[in-house]
Amino acid sequence: MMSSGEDRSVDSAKHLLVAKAIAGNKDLLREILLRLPIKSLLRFKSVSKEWLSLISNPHFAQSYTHRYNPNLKPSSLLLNHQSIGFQFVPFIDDGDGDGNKPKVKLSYPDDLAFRRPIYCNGAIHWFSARKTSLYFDTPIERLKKMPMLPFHEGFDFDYNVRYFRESRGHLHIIVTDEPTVVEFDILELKIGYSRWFVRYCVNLDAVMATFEDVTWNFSE
Amino acid sequence: MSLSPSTSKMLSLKSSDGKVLEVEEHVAVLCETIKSLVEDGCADSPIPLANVDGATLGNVMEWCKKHADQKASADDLEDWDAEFVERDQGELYHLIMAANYLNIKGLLDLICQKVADMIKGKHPEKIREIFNIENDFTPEQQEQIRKDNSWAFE
Repeated sequence: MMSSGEDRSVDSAKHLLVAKAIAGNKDLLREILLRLPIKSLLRFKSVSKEWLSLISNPHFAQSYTHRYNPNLKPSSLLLNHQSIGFQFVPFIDDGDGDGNKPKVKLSYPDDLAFRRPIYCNGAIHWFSARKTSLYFDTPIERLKKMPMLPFHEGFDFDYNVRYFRESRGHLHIIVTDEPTVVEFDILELKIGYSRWFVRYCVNLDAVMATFEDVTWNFSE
Repeated sequence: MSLSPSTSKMLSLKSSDGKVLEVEEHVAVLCETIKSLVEDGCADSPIPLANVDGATLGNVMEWCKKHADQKASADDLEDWDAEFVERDQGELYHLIMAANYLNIKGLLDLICQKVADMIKGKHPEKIREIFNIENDFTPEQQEQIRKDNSWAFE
């Protein structure tokens, strides 16, 4: 990345002033604090009285909660029953006047495994190691296919899904070919569902060696 | 007035240190502040931006140009943004102030997240140092906050 063509010996005093300006600008500070993990946020209550009051403010708490759980109010119901199939039932007036929107019957592949749904960014996701992985795009009320994992042919189909969850607006998955393996990749799904990519490479060897006495349980 | 790329004209922007930057209108209007000037027909040439220095303005317009590009995919932009924020603290702080002043939501989101990632997990004392904040708590108050939020301080 190109940095500015500016002289690199920019004086740090000027930067300090800008940093001070950010800390003194409540709107900006609020925007930054909203993006912190909860543990850091609580720690930073002890930075100053101003930070304490900002973080303790009920409106701030509400925005913070809303940011990570944007759809706190239920707006619809997904039904799955052998006899009726898979249905989307909206039950709250969405503002366009027709409070009684019809139920939507959805078609889906026969081999779909509706197990352990994960909610992320307005969609519900079902990952299946052996069958089709789908997600339900709530705003447009459609089922769509999730991309395949990148190393599909490298694995036989008996890999284990060790983890499939949402974190701060991203979906992550860990699959390994054996349940006891300690070196693995954490894959993340690109925004826009184009593909999975390796977000982190993890090796727990050193940790396990350090804590020899601990019993390790790798099941979810 | 059309803001589409095909008919885009050039706007002159003048930074706080007197540098003049020629930018295509459809790029510059990613800044809400500039967009309202253009829409109100108040975009006198050059538009003076008293709170943004030349180097920062250059960086901001580089971001706007990329994000005004209709051909850029979401994937592409995500990667590009990640690289864009790989800067030293000073540059980031100037960018955040500029994005706020020029009212560019996408850029503001991006940099706020970057700053949050930079400061998360740090000790409160370090935060005071970074932002030049004075500790105005008594030791007793400090201890009380620690107690009330003990799990966060473990």
